[in-house]
Amino acid sequence: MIKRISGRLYLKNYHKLFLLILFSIFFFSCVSPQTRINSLFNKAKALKTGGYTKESIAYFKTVIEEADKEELSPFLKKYYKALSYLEIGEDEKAINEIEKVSYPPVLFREEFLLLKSIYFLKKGYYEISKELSANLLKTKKYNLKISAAEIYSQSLILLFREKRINEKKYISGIKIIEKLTNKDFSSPLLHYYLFSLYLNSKRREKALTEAILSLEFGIGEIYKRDILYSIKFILKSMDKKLAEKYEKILRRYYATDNRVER
Amino acid sequence: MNFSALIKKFYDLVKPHLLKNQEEAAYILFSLIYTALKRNERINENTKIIIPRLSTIVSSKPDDFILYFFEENKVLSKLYQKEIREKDLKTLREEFKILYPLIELKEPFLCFILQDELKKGNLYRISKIYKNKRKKILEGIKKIKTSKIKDNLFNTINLMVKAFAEEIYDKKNFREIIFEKLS
Repeated sequence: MIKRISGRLYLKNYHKLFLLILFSIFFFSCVSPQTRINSLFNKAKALKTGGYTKESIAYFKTVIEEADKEELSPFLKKYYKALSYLEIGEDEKAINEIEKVSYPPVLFREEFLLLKSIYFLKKGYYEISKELSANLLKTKKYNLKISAAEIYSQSLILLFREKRINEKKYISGIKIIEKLTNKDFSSPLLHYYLFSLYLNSKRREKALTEAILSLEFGIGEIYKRDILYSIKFILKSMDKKLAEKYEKILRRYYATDNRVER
Repeated sequence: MNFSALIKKFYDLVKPHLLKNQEEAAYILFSLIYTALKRNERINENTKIIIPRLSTIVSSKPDDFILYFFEENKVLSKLYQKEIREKDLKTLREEFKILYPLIELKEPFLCFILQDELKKGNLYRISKIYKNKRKKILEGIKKIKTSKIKDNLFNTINLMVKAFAEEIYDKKNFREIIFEKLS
C-alpha cells in the first residue's frame, strides 16, 4: 500500500516536474536575449526595411539598445559598435569591428554582407565588393538594396577607372542597375547611381536622361547641386545643337538653382 | 540670441578650463549643434560627433570632370596651375574631395569650418588645412567630455539646440537653415 501510495506520489510529482520543464522551456524561449532581439528586429523590419541609410542606422541602433538590456551576444556588441562608427563616418573603424566576426547570425546575414562589401570597397578589392553587393541587389529590404546599389556602382566605376575591366564589361555591369530602375522607376537614388555610371562612360546623353529623372523624382539638395553642376560639365563637352536641346529641357531645374545660370 | 552671442557665452564657460581661442570654440559649438540637430537627440559625454561623408559623390567623378572643375574656377585654376598643367590627378583628386563639396555643393559643415579660407581664397592644399581643423575639433570635444564642467556645458548646449530646433522645425532643408543661422 505504501508502495502504491509512493508510486502514486512519484507519478504525481513526475507530472509536476514535466509541467515545470515545459513551462521553463516556454518561459526561456520567450525572454531569452536572442528571442527578444529577434522579436525586436522583426518589429524593426516591419517598420523599416533594413539597410544603411542614416535613418535605418539610427533605427537598428535603437533596436540593439533595447536588446542591450539583456545580455548581448558578442556579434551584436560588435555590430552595434560598427553601426555607431558608420553613423559618424568612421567607415574604416566600422569595418575593422565587423571583420572580427566569423559567424554572423542568419538574422543579420544580409546586413553583414553589406558591411563586408563596404570593407572590400575601402580596401581596394573592388571585384569582391562588386560581387557581394550584386548579390544583395536581389534583397527585398528596400534600403539595403539602395545601399547595395551604391556600393555596386562605386565598385564598378573604380574597376573601370583603374582599367581593370573594359568598356564592354562596364556597360554590361551598368545593365544590372538599369534592371533595378526598370522595376523601381521612381527611386531618385537609383537614377542618381545610373547617372554616375554613365557619366564615367562615353554615353553621356544617357547620363543626362538619368540626371533629369533623378531631379524629377526629388533627389536631396546636395545631390541636386551635384547633378546641376555635372550637367554643366556634360553640356560643355557636347555637340552645340544637342546641348541647346538639353538646355531647354533643363531650364526649369536651373530656375531653382541660380548658381547654374552663371 | 545670434551665433556670435552664443559663441561668447560658450567661450566664457569653457575659457577658464579648456579652450585657447574663440575660433576653436565656434567650431566645436557648431559641430555639437550640428550633431544634436542631425541626430535629433540631446548631447552628452557619450555623443559621437557627426562629420559629413560625401564619398559617393566625390569618388564617382571621372578624371575629366575633376580637371574641368579646377580649370573652370578662376581662383582654383591659378592656385593649382602646376597640377592642372601636369595633369597630376592624384593631388587634384585629393583636394577635390574637400573643394567640390565646399564650393559647389555648399556642404554646411565644410562651409562653416573652412569659411575663412573660402573668404580669403586660401584654398591651396585645403585637405591638409581641413584635416588639422578636424583633428583640433575632435581633440577639443574630447577635452570637454572629460572636464569637470561638462554637465553644465552640455545643458547649455542642449538649451541652445532646443531653441534652434523649435525655430527650424518643419523646415525642409534643415542643414541649410542651421548654416544660415549659425553663420
